[in-house]
Amino acid sequence: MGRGLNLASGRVIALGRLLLATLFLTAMWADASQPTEFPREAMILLAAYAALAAAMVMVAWRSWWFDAHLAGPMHAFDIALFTAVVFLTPGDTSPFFIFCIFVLLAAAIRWGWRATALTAVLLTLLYVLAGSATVAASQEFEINRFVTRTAYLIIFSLVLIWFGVNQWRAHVRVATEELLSDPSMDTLPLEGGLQAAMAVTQAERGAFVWSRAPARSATVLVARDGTVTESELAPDSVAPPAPGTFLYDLRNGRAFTRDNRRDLRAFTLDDHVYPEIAAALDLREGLAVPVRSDRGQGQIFLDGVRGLSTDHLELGEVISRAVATRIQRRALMRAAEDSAEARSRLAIARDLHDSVVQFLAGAAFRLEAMKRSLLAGREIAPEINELKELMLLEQGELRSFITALRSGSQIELAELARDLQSLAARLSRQWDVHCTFSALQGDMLVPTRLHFDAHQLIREAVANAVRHAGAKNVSIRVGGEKDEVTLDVINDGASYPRGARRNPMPGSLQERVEAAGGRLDLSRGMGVTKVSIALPIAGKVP
Amino acid sequence: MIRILLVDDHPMIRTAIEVLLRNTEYTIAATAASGEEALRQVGEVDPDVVLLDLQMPGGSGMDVVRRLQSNANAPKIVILTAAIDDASLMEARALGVAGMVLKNSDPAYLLECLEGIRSSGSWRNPELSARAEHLDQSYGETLRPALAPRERQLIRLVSQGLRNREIATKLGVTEGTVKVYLHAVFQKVGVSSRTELAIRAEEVLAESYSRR
Repeated sequence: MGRGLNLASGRVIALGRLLLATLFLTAMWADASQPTEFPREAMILLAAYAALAAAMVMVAWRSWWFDAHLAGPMHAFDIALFTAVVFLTPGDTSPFFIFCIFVLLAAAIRWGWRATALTAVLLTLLYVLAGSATVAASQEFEINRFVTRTAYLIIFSLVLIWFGVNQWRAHVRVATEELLSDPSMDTLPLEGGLQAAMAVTQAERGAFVWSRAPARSATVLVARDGTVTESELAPDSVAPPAPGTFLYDLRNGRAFTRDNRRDLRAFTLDDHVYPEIAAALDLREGLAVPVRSDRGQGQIFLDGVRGLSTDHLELGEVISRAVATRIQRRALMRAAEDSAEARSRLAIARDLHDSVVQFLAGAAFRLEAMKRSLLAGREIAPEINELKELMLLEQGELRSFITALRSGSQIELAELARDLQSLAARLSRQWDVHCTFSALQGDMLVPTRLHFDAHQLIREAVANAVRHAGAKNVSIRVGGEKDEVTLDVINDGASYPRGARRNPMPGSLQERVEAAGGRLDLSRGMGVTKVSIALPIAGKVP
Repeated sequence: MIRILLVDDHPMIRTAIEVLLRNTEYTIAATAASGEEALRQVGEVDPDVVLLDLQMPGGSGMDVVRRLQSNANAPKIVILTAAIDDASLMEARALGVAGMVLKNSDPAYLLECLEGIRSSGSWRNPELSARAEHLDQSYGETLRPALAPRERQLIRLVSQGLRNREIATKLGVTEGTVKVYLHAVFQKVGVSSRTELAIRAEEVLAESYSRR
């Protein structure tokens, strides 16, 4: 039922006109008292009008081009007929007064508020003139009814002018919701956009010609018989998209668009559809929708649209905005994904640089030192033992790093705590400092990224405590609170940094904490320095 | 004894260099783990040589080089780094850095470098010398106007992806001044957009240091 009533506005107007013309003719034939003036001529006029209305129904069904072109003249003819009928029947009591509503409604549907207002002014003036003309001819003129009808006409005109302003809102909203709800546009915006546009307009075939910015090549998607094919064209073989949506009839070289004032305007097709491309895409008649975004520009061709009419121009604007929005959104998503991937790569590169590369460089220097000591006849066994110890420590770090990488995107907090406890033991040996470790039990998952950060931060915090503060005892505490992991490193050394005029945050720690999106706090009291770090986590075990 | 200030944030490197320099004519007078700390230590210990890593937290080692080389009585600088980009290589050379050693090259080069500086005032890693020569040849024919230090700084900030407002804050000027500087830089280096400048920043900077 709903689908059956989903007719183009031009067809609805043509049908309404035909039904009213038939009704007028029948009513006048059945009522012997009407028309009061020139009865024979009036009957001929109405019969001719009914015939014309029938012809317009055929035109509206067969050609959106002629329907749009003849809309203006037919509207003028409708106004003239209304005036004639009011004159031929008593103006104040004319049974055909209702026809003015049809004329106003037709203007509001087709053109918007400007044409509706102009029609309303014309109808009111002509009604008053025609009514006044009957005053002289009739002794029984009912002035009250005439004034009341004139007031009806004005009030109704105002309502329809409002309708002319707002008529497309509901239609556009529904179409937008349909388009934006298509999930395929998130992953394949060009193909998804083409298919969603075809679904909304019930097009039989579709093509999307898209030139990326900067224009290196143009992608052409053709959807036909349920399949989509893709090909590439040279950018100069594709015409620039039209400023707005337009209807095209390539067989007859016709095209219609709406200008800024929403008036229909015919234009030359060749500027926006190159004949070779049209032939290659097998374009015949349909709706063309320009799409523009920061990523490029293009045109969607919706061919074989069922019930194609000028109404589709508004729908095309909705499609244009929706597809452009999706292309832009997808581009932003891709940029965000690339950025996240790049950040991960940089973070891993930094970890490798800070650990393996620096360690190997340091080891090479130490081997050089040992070689020189050996040549000088000095004892090198202690240096070899120290290097061996350092290598074992580094190996442990590297193993922990690799295990975390292998374990997936998240690990349990308890596992992180175990690894950090081992790290505390290694740091204790490495820096010859008494290192204690404690962890609060929590049923949480933490991202692998945080695992790396926690290791590096504790290494740096302990190294700072020993080197800069001369600490002998370091206490490490790990906890999980709500959506973050907390790390406290407390040392009994001097105020950090020793000998500094100010008391700034440790630079390297600060940088790493900020990169992890966390917070760093440094406090001093009771002879100890406390470095408190809070790092955001990804989630918790339900 | 030649007194050295060792600036590197990695404890393994610091310890290794200390061990390497034992029983030589060089002694570690102080160590620093950041650029800021290095500048403070230079004032406090007045070293003969600063052995400087370029990649450190809290800013590039090149900032330390620029600050130190603006002082006529600055100690000699030896860059000890895992990697150096073209622009930094050419700038370091233009600023008169005494020596450059790559951490991944033969560790003996470091001692060779220190010896070379003591005897002749400068020493270059062969690999870096070859690279600088190649860059000179590549850019030697280019005839573009020289860039002022401020313009180089601006290009570096643009290449870091900073917006005009952020650049203005860093340079202590208004956003309008940054726009004027940028316009001048665009014309000088022959780029048409900020993105192009960011992409070609290293090339533009390296090229600007190749003129003598």
